[in-house]
Amino acid sequence: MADHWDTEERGLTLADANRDIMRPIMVSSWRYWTLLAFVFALVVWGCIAWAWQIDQGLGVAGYSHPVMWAVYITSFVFWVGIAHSGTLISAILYLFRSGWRTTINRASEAMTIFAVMTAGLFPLIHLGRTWYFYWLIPYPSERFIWPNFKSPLVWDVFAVGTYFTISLLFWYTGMIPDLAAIRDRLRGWKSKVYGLFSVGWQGTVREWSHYRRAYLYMAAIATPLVLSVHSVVSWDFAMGIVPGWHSTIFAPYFVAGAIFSGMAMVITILVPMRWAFGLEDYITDYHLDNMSKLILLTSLIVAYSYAAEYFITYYSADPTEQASLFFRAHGSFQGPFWVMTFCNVIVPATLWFKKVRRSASAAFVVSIFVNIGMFYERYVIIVSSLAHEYEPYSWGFYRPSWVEISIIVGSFAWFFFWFLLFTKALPTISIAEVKEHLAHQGAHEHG
Amino acid sequence: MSESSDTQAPRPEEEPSTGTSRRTFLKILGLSGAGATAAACRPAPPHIDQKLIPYLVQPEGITPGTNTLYASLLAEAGPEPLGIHAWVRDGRVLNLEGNPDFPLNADSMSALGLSTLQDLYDPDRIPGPRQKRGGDFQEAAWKDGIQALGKAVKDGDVVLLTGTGTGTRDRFAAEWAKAVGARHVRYDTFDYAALRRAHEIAFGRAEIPTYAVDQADRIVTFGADFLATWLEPVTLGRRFAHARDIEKGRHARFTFVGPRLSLTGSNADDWLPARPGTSGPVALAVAHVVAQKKGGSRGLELQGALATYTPEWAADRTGVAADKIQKLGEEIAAAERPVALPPGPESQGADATDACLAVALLNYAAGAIGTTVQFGVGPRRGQGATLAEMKTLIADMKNGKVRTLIVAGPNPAFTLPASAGFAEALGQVPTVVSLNSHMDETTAAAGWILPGSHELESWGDAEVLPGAWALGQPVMQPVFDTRQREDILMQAADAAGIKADFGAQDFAGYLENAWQEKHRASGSSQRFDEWWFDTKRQGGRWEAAPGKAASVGLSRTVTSHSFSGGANAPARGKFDLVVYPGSYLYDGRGANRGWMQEIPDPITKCVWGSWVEMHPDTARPLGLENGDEVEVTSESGKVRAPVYLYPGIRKDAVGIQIGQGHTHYGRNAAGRGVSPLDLLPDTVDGATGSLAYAGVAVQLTATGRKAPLAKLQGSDLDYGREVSEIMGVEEARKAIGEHQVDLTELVEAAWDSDPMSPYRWGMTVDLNACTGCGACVAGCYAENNLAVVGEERCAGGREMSWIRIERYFEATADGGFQTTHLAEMCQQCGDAPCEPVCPVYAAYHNPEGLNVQVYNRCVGTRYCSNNCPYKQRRFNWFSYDFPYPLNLQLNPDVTVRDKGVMEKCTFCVQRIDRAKVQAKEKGRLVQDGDFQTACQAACPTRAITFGNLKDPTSRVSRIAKGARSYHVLEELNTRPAVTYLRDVTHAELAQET
Amino acid sequence: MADAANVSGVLAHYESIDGTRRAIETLREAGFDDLEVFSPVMCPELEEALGIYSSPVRRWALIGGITGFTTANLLTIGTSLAYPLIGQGKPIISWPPFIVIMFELTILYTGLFAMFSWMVHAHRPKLKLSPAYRAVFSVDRWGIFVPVDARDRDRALEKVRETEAVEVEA
Repeated sequence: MADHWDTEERGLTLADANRDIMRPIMVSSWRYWTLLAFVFALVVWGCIAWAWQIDQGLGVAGYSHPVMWAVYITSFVFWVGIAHSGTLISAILYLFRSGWRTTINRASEAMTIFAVMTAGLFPLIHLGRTWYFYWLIPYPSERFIWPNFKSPLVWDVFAVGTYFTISLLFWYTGMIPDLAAIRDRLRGWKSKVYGLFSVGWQGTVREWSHYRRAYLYMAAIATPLVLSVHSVVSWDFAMGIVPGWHSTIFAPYFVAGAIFSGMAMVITILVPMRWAFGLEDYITDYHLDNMSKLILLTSLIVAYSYAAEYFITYYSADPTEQASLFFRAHGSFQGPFWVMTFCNVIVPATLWFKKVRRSASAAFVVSIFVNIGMFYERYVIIVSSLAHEYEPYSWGFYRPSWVEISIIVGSFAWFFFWFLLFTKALPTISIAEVKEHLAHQGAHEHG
Repeated sequence: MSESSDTQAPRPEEEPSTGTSRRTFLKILGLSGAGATAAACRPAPPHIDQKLIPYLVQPEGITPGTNTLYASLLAEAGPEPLGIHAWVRDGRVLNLEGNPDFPLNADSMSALGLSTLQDLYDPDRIPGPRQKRGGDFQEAAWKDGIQALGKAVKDGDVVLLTGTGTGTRDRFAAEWAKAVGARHVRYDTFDYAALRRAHEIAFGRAEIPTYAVDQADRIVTFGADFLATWLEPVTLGRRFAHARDIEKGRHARFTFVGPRLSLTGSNADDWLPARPGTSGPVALAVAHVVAQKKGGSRGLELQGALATYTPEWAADRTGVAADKIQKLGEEIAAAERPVALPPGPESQGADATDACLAVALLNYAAGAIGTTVQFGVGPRRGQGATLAEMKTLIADMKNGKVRTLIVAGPNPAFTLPASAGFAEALGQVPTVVSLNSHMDETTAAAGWILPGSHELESWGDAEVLPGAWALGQPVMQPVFDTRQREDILMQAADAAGIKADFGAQDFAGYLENAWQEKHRASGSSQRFDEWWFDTKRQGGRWEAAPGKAASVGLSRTVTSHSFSGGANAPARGKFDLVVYPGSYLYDGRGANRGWMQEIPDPITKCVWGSWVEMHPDTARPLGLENGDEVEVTSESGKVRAPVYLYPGIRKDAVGIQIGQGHTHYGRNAAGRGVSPLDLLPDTVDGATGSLAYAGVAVQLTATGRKAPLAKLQGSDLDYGREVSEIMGVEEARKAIGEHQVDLTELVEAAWDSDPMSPYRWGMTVDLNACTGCGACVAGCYAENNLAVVGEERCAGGREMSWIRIERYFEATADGGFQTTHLAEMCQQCGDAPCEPVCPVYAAYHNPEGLNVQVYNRCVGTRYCSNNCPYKQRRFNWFSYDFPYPLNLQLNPDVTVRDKGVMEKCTFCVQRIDRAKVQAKEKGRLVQDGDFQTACQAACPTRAITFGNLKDPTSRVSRIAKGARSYHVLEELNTRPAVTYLRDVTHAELAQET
Repeated sequence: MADAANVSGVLAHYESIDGTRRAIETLREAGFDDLEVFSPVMCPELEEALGIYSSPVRRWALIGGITGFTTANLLTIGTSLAYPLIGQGKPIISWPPFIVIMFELTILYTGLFAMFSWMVHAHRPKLKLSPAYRAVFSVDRWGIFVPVDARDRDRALEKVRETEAVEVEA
């Protein structure tokens, strides 16, 4: 097995890259459209549930005092987390000049965009009066009232908003040369459309030189951004005085978790994709191996955070805090807690074995577990902490209602709906970068 | 929004406030009761109700946007007559407060009393005359109804069934019955026959004395739930608090004897868990000890009579250890002014009279008679028919001796034990006419319903103390097409062509005549109309109120009286049944009032249902947990209800509350829960024939099903989290006077927002005074338009109450526990965690240190609630509706919240703003006594004090400085504006670990 | 840079980066400085060969950053002062929370400025492509266009022929 991307053995040429990667755009099958239709149906169902909730009031969800936040916020954090791997791969690995990002960055960036689009829905869905969501956005109103910049929720608006914008730009910029390539390949109106989006790119060296720097700077700023966004999200909780939330460990803990879940989602998506589009030459076991290693690393950090959380609590000798964490592992929410521990700590440990890392199917299974585990992690942190706060009178319980479940399912469908459109309409691998890799490799041969 | 929603500045003299200023206002209020009702416009039907329609012609004395107060009387609200001030605006009564001049409840209220508002505006009231045709009730005309009643009256064999009373309404009923040759039967659910009889035997006076609990230095009750349902709970509650006022150096030790810790029991220092129906023998034994120890002439009188009733004798009958009885006796003997209260219904068995007599003798031996137990000055209370007497009526009904039964008030078909067979008998009566306002079980069996008006729409009066008369004037026009009960009877008499001279056209006139006699008797120099006007203004005449107690002597016969040994222990595998009146439902009359269903029961903290109380040690071995349904079976019947684990009940007993299990009576009551009365045999007390509630053995079988049990309290313990604090009495005595608490932090909380502000509103809640009665909660519901959400939503933790009473158990050294009731509302923190997390500034800190919640701005992120350590914020999960006419009770000064916004206690900011406006017009700052918050106004024991913390001389500042003061969850440094004063107990507390 | 539309010239195709680089060097020695080089991939070596060493984009990025930071300051502090409301006794202007906003806006503006500045400097977006552009340049071929008028045409052609051009259009 190669410990690098063995393009020579595979004898790939620049032309191959164009052809192979553009294939899904050129040809399509009925399977694709049925899948798309099914996913869309689920989205519609989710929308119906949401409409019902807006009409009736949040009561149709399973909320119960004191558990005022539940699966909606859980999903928000989950999807924001998913969103992290994309920019991480494209930006941080770009700065580190890690060659193996080349074939996976485009798809994972797309995933980022769609994940943020999904995450962004949930703060709205969870609002008591969704129709006034815009009051969180600073705009000059006749009442001269502005948002409260001291509230972590407003930080969210800015962090997630910025993250979405920058990720989108970064993704789009990276795609422009490819769009131009597609433009040149196609004829007729399609060509015109791609031409429009390729901003008339013709790959002159002058264009490249400005482009290269812009791309570099964006990578440079996207890197701290990635780290900041999930820190801010974690502060939604850490800034609260809720026992089980109020902890300084949260920012790094959440960032690690985000990358953890994000990488897992990348594998969850790439493995079927490469199978469906026959991209084995581009997304090789070597790539899977590297991603798995990242998952393993972050899994260790997450596991450490779990342990640290308990140690700190024990060491603080704060009875309320201790009661809260004891409740987490032994109270009414112990089920989710142990699922979380199993999926996030035990299962990823299998990645210590090269065999597992290099087997697409094995890595895929692990990634599914991690996704589940990370959803439960957020659920446990949010719900079990709220259910067991300071005042024993107000200890409560929570169970999601059909409305919440429908909306969650709908949100997953919404995510995959966009991703399917992406695979059909855009190059799922960065053609330009692949060719750059091939070209320079060629250069080294001759030179 | 929660800031001043009252745009119109009220004229100060028209504004209610406490004490003298209110009196002056009432003087200026130039309105007679009749004028009041004239001015009061009839509430508009729903469709018009949506719009605001200004008066075309301004009624005299009515200023829109301001409350007008009318003094009146609630005689049918619950256990006691309540003197009230009704807050009327635009012809609708909005709120009730105690009438400070009233000799009993004075300026405080009870939850049940406040909830009569919901009784008045109950959407399930019968809107007009109804006739039963083909099985169900059809609309009918008044004149037909009157004709029908008249005809029935003419035909004879008429029985008029009314409640008891001490006033003109009762007198009229009797007179009317005499005139038309009908039989007048008075009936109340709980009669006090045994108590009267016992005192007749003991002292030759068949009366209920005044229990001057406030004078006592040692209190023991042999079961009477005198803080919730027995005699005058509000009045006795005030006295109890007075006797336990530790700051004044008083703190009477309080012992509760009985199988189950009732609300009263939960306030006791010691608990002697006597088996149901055996508190008599305990009292005897205690009396025995007292007679021995105290001696004296009275002691010697009794020593002989009580010789055989030793603690040991009592011990094996009652399940109370002899040494405990001995100890109690010695303590009473040692006390200067002890008082013993008799058993209440829940502990009255087939020997009720003996038990009461035993207590009477104990009081005598202890020297309480004449000091803490005063005869000749006791509250007047009508004596209703006992079960025995009712059974004769039932018999007559069954064998056709009754051709017409007129029901005017009571609901015996529900309140009598099923075994008495009243419901069946009702079927045998050819003509049943009901004058009740609700479709209760009795009314449902009627052929005609001629709905009588609600108390608040009717004239009435009552002699509350010997010579002290309270007047009840209508405070608004009838909500529905109803008439004063007495008027209906009068018109029926006319229709029957009976020439009865009542000396007036209607009852209003009849009552006025009656008061003219009082005017003459009073020998007042005023002309009658002036005198009558003043009477209406102050709600009655108390000048002739009680002088000094009559001196009584022990009658010879007592010494030879042989006492029963109390009820027998249940057979193996069976349980003693404890049947007790509901604190909020009382005898079931509260069952259709949303507030009474939704305010958690003070002991179990359950809502909207019935439950079977069991001791955990008994239930767990049987595999029973909270919410497991059991079937309770007696010889007389069976009921099914979920189990509730309560450590405050004997291990061999189960408790079920009276009040639920209605088959009719309205949307909230019908088909909800079970009635323990279905389990009672018609056993009666030998001496008086009144129903024996205690001494019934029942069998328990688990049905294996889970039944809904909506318990609102998550945990019964506070795990030493500085939530509810309790201290030993010695510790408290030492602390008081020694050190004071520094208030600067509290006051500074307002500086955060505005150093210049003259106000920092603050509150103190004295846990030692708080009995947990829940009047404050009802007061809040009435004032702040709180929604009633129903059982399912309560179970989901979605109740909307802004103030709640948290009931915690604190372990004691002897393995028992002490109960603390902690009334908790928004703490209005100076350092409020809820504020900074709101993304839109819906929650912020106003210049007077209040945490303001701006409903209009709230988008519903609910972060504030997550971040509130006190969990005092309630979220509007839905838009809750107030079905007509309940919406007429909504307070115009307070926003009705819509779905999706957060809400919480505002410290009654609307009242604060009113007070500020008036103060401004007087050119001064708001000061003590200008106004009270709704919860404070309702509190019988004055546990709540509200005022300005920035004014060092204000009451609240002085109290907050007290040695007992603490803040809930103080370690979070939220600097709450609500200061709590630790509960104080004589019991020895376990060391907190 | 010459507009290939109205100037005729010579267009040469190449199949490797190095070939292209060498061709550029040859042509520049010959005095043809105004070259238009098309590349399917990003290759800094060609920039060097053409003597392009820097891009104003970085300056724009910096300006963007500063703009964002300033905006954030105005927004947070300005609005807090415009409608001062107290929460939990925190100062009207509390830096720690505001720093989060400042950070995010700095990033946002840097990104936006970088994006748009490169487009402006690369004269994008454009609908019409240069006539010298060929579709193969987005596949696997490099192209050099030498804009020359009739006089220099032959000299240019012969210079181009010296290079490793796989195809020459004139």
